[in-house]
Amino acid sequence: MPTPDTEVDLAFLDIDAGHWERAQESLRSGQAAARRASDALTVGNPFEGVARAYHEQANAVAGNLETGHARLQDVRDLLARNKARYLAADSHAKKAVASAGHRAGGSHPHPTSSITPGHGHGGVPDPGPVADPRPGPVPADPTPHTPWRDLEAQVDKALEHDRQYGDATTPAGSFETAQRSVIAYTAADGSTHLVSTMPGQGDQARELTVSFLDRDGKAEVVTFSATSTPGTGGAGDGAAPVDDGVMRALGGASQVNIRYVDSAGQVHTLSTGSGLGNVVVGYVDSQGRQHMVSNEPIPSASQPGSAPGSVAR
Amino acid sequence: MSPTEHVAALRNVVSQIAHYRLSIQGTLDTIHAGIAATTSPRQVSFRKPPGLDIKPARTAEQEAFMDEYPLMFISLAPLYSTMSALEQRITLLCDTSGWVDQLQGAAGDWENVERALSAASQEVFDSQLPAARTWKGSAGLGYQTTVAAHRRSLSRVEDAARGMRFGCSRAAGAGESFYGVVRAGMRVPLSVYDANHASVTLPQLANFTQYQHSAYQAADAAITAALATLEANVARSFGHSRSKREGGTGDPDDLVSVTETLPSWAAK
Repeated sequence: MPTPDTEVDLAFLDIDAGHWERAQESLRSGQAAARRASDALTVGNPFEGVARAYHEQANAVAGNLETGHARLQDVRDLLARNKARYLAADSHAKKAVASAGHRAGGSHPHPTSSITPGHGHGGVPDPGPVADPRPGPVPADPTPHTPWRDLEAQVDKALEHDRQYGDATTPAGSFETAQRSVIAYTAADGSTHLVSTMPGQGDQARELTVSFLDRDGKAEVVTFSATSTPGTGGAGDGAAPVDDGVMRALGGASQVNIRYVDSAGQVHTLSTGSGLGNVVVGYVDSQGRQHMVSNEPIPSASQPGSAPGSVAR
Repeated sequence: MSPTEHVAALRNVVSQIAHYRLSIQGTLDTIHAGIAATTSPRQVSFRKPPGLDIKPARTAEQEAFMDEYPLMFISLAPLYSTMSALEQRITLLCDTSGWVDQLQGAAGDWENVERALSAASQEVFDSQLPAARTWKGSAGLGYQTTVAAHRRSLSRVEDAARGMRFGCSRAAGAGESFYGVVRAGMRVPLSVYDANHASVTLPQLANFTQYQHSAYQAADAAITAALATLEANVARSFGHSRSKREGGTGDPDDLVSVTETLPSWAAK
């Protein structure tokens, strides 16, 4: 089922999986031949040394084949999991688009995320890196990033707000003037982290900056400072004035960077290009309304109601 | 390549040794009886009138044989034991010689393993995997890395299987040589007259206490040495496979140990 907005043609995954399956069948046939070869030598006294030298190597190769058979199964499983993940993400994104479109009509205030490509070309989530199999024997599954839903739940919990829902698209709902902010993200190893401007909610940041490239390739920078009035920022060419629309555009980000200064004054930098996976930003604006945006992608921006944007609640 | 000819010759040697072992005592008895019947001791009684003793006097050699005759039987026991052990050992070598043909036959199975691995490699060859060529992003990169690692593993195990095929043929060759060496080492005395002095025409006690016993012991030692050489040759025969499997160059003496750059298919 080729889908133009995935990073890999899903039909290609099936083709590859078919080849791995046939390769596995060949290995099974090889295993049987290796077993026959190993069993072929039945000599004992006084040729134990001969038998030992032979069986040692024969069994090692037969063991290689057995392990190889299992490893090829791992590859097939890996392809199947990735396909399932792509399909699930695709389905979820379509539902989110439809849901966002519905909410734009005024019904169902429900937390959701911006959905456009996180990184890469397509509109489905990159399942994360597949580890180099060396030196370990098992090709690792793509690192499972914590789903956006879970990150949102963490952000939601951290904000602990009185649930005044508002419209994040109004200037009054800007991140820049937020009372408090929380960022939940996954690192390259799949671990989940929380950074907030509030004590006791993950790593405490006294200054928090989110920068990213929007869908048009423009650099956007927004900063929250716990000690001063938040200011606007820019990232060179294409930097845009900060307003609430900037946070809306996070959904289209191809590169998200988080920079924060912790309570000890140490600066931390994270980037989707190097170790930062899924990101959910939550904040409570000056009017006490809670907002949540993320870099969760959607299959296609051309679908109805798919324009990126945060939803306040 | 088969040791059939050598094995047949060795069985014949065993038969000869057994035959000789069983005939020693009878042969000595016959010689003794012959000498006793046809010769007189060299010390002639003075009471007998000259001319009455018609048997010729024994030669010094005959006299020595008659003197050593009782001692020879005592010395035969350890010789019998050594000969008998050698017969059993050679018989066992012959009875178990089928391993040479078994190894030669196993080479065919390893060829089938090679074919299977080659077929598997063809399945996952670059042009066959469109996803590996087109998958973008970190997951795609990871998949490509995985594919490359498995291709390396397939290639190495195929090399190792090929090494086993060649190893089987080499080891079978070493087996044939082994039987040839054992056969050549069977230079054992098969007659009571065999001695280390060509001029001696009658069996001497030293034949049985020293020379013949040593000759049979030497034949046994030759088998032990040939077995050690065989084991070393067989191990070396499969060294190519081992080296390839462990990621080495294929040199049988290349004792490369597994490092982090080696394939992902370590045996369980």
